[in-house]
Amino acid sequence: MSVTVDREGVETRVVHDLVDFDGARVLEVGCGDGRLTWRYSGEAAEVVAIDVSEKKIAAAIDATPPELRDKVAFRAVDINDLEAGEDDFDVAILSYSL
Amino acid sequence: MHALSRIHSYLRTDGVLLDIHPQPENSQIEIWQEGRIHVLGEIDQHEDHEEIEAGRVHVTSFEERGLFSEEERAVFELLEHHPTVESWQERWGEEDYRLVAEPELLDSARALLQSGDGELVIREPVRATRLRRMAEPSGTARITAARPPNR
Repeated sequence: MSVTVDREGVETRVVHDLVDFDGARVLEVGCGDGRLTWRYSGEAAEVVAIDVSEKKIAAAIDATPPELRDKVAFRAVDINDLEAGEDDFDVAILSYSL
Repeated sequence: MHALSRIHSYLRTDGVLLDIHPQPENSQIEIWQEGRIHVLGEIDQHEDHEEIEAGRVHVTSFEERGLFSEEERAVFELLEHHPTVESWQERWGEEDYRLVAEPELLDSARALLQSGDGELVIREPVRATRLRRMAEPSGTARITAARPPNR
């Protein structure tokens, strides 16, 4: 048996109850290995998911499902070094990182 | 510049910020086995609580400045299931968590898991808040996150 987080789907339900991701451009800060990213990226138009850990970002990239590779971009970068512009995103997620 | 300032500049006006973070409470360690839940104790996370409270103060300061407005909040329990004590220690070690659990508690967990099929479950209280990105108050210059130099 492997490690599983939110097997019950509670976090997923809460996130979707709070935010409509349909067609949204999403910035996720503190994405880690992409655990939360997979829970909403299917509905989003595009996702930029960042984390300062290169190891976790590498794991997230490896684990990216083929159908999401065109819309989800993982970056090992600090928020202060992210190249992004004003109004670039509809949704921002602080993922256990504040 | 604080992360919230950057996020504010990257979000469109009326965009949404979803802030998910643990509650400033200790997580609970349980063993689930043969239809029963054994509550073994808590993980001492009081040092994390201070960071969480500091983060909340930052968010509140942005709300007080009229840059974000809280719309809705939810509290839930995030359950993390592990086959062994060691797998939990390895995962939380990767997260740089300060694992403070009594050795006797961990020994109890190992003994229960060795006695039959079961799993170690960490029950962590979490808060998720949706905030609306507001336009800068009138008379206030837009917060501009300068683009970093190309690398």
